[in-house]
Formats: sequence, structure tokens, C-alpha cells
Amino acid sequence: MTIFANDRELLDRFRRGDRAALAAVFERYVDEVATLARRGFTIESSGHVYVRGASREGEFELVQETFAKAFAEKARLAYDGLSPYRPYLLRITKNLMIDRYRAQQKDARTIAVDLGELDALQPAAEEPPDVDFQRLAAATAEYVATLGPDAREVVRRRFEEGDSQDKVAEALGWTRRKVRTVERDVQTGLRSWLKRRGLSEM
Amino acid sequence: MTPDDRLTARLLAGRDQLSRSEKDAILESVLPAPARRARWAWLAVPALAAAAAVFVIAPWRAAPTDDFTARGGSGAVANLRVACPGVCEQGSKLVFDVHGTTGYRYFAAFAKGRDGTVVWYFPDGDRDTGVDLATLPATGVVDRVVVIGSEHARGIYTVYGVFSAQPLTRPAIRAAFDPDRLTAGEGTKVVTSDLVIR
Repeated sequence: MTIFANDRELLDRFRRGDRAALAAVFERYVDEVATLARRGFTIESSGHVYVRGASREGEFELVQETFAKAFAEKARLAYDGLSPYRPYLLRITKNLMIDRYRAQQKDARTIAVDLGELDALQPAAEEPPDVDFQRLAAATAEYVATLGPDAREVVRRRFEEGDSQDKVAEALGWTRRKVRTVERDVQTGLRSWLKRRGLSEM
Repeated sequence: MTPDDRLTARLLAGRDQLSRSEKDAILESVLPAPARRARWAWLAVPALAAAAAVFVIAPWRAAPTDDFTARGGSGAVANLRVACPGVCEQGSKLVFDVHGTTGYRYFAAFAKGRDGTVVWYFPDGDRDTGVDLATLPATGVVDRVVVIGSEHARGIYTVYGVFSAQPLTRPAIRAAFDPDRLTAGEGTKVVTSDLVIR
């Protein structure tokens, strides 16, 4: 069910550009947009064209660009509030990815996709984890084991579970500033840890 | 957010997928800029700074600094809680909870320090009007939070919440505000709450 179903107030706030409403929409759909950007998809009607998933940087940029387009005032006002929002949003991501695919292909094949087929495109299967990432992740687990209980709790809540800084602060009885400071220190410490082991130039 | 930040966030999450901090960075980049809140002189006290405001993404529960209720003659009720998620200090967020308010449509708020300086929270500027309570989420918490910045020197402030049936601008409130009778003109109610900045 689309996020705006039976919630006229949210739709009105979304159209007005209310930050809280936009944030609610973002949270609802960001993972699906990111999954599509990361995995890519195949277009059968155009001769089995595989639009490869984006790199780490590309994933970030695609998600950012998708929501930047979707949250632009013109797009917000153009959304009728009745059509399912998820396909609309994923259509933006798919079109962005197809545009990039075309730009990367020197002998670009013609890709003709109608709206129905575009909406039906599903993300490709998840690729196995990158070997380099696995090696760094193993070293990261060793690093986390050296941290004190407070820092480990921040890692668990903030990174593993994906809680907001506000939520972590509330749970731990800290200020958000303290959470932010511990989070930054943990990341700085990780960079040093990996560098000392010759695993990263970070 | 640098590529290094993105990688460390993913490593700490243990999966090579968009991390919470990446999502936060993206969200912040695609949201409209938060309104900036000007500080103005109260009865000729010069303005010194501006306060920045952000919208809340995630709700939280926090111990209120104070809780006041004012009941009008017509049955209207004005409630105001002003809270920080812990100690109120620079960098903390200030939340306005007006849950339970009935009979008033608009809400404005400002704080007055013991030295007479005033910091406006709502409305945003002289030509704007306050928060339309009809648009509040069901929580009754104003979905805009003031980040306490340098304009809030350490000390005790009185926060004035101005509830009204009609939208009021800052000049209109200034002109009619009576701190003794706790009113800002006909059809309004002013509720106060102490705020301690540490």
C-alpha cells in the first residue's frame, strides 16, 4: 500500500515540502531504491540488456539523485496522490540507470521500454560480497572487539541496526552530540586500525 | 560525507549496503533547507544572532522541562511543554509539545532571557505567521525543532507560547503582548515555561 493511502494530511505536507513528511517518504522507500541501484536489472525486450548495478559511489549518487528528483517541487505537486508511489519512485531510478548505461555504451543499442515493462523490471540477484570488503570487514570486527562497551553499543545501534542518532541518544541517555562524537571517534579509530595493518590507505 | 566515511560506516555495519549515515547524508541533501530563525531586540535590546531550526526526522520522548496548562473561559485549553532530549545546552534540540491543546488554531513561541534578550522560534520572520496546529502530527509535537545555538547564552529563559485563533505575525504579537496578563490580544492565550540552558 502506498504511503499516502488514507493519509491526506501526509500528502498535503509532502506537497508543501514539509521536511518531516519528506523524511517519512524517504525512510519508507530508500531501501528499495538502494537495492535496485546496487543490483541493477535486465531488460529482456531490448535483447537481454543487463543494466549493471552501481558501485558503492554510484549507489549513493543514484539514491541521492532519485530522491532529489522526486522531492523537487514540480514533482511533488505533479504527483496525483492516487497512483502507487513506489513504482513512480523506482521508475526514476530505472530511467537514471538506463541513461547511464546508454552513456557508457559506445555502440549503444536502442533501448525501448514502455511504462508497463519499466514498472515490471525487478532488481537482479544480489551479487556475492566483494572479497576486499570481506577482508576489511573481518579486520573491522577485530577492531570493534577492542572497543569499550559504550562504543560497541553505538556501533551496534547506530551502524548495525541503523538507528538514528536521536534514537541512540535517547536509548543511552546521552546527548545527540555525545553520540555523534563517539561515532566519529569509532570511525577515525577504524581508519587507523586498518591503516596500521596495511589494509587501507584511508 | 567522504568515500572513506561511507566505507567505514558500511564496514561497521558489516554489510556493503547503504548505511544509516549515508541515508542521513542523502536525506539532508535532498530536503529543503531549514528555515533560519532571527533574533530581535525586545524593547530596544539589540539583536545579536540567529537561531537555526531543523525538522525532526525521528520522534523521541524526553523529560519535559516544564508542563503548563491554561484554560480559557470558552473551554479552550492551551498546553505547552518545552523539552530537550536531556540537558538543554548548545547543540541540543528544543522540542515544543502542545498535545492536548484545543480551541486554538495557531501557535507562536519565543524566549526571553533574564537580560532582556529575546529569541524567536515561531513564526520564522516578521511577515510569517505561527505554526498551524491543524497540521500537527497526532503526537501533538510541533514537527520543527530549534537547535540551541550561540544565541542562547547559558542561563534561565522564560519561553512564551502564544496560542491564538487567528494567525499572528511577530509584529502583531509584539504590539499586543502583555506579560502580566499573559495575553497577546483578544482570542489569545500565553503559556510560559522556564528553560535552563547549561
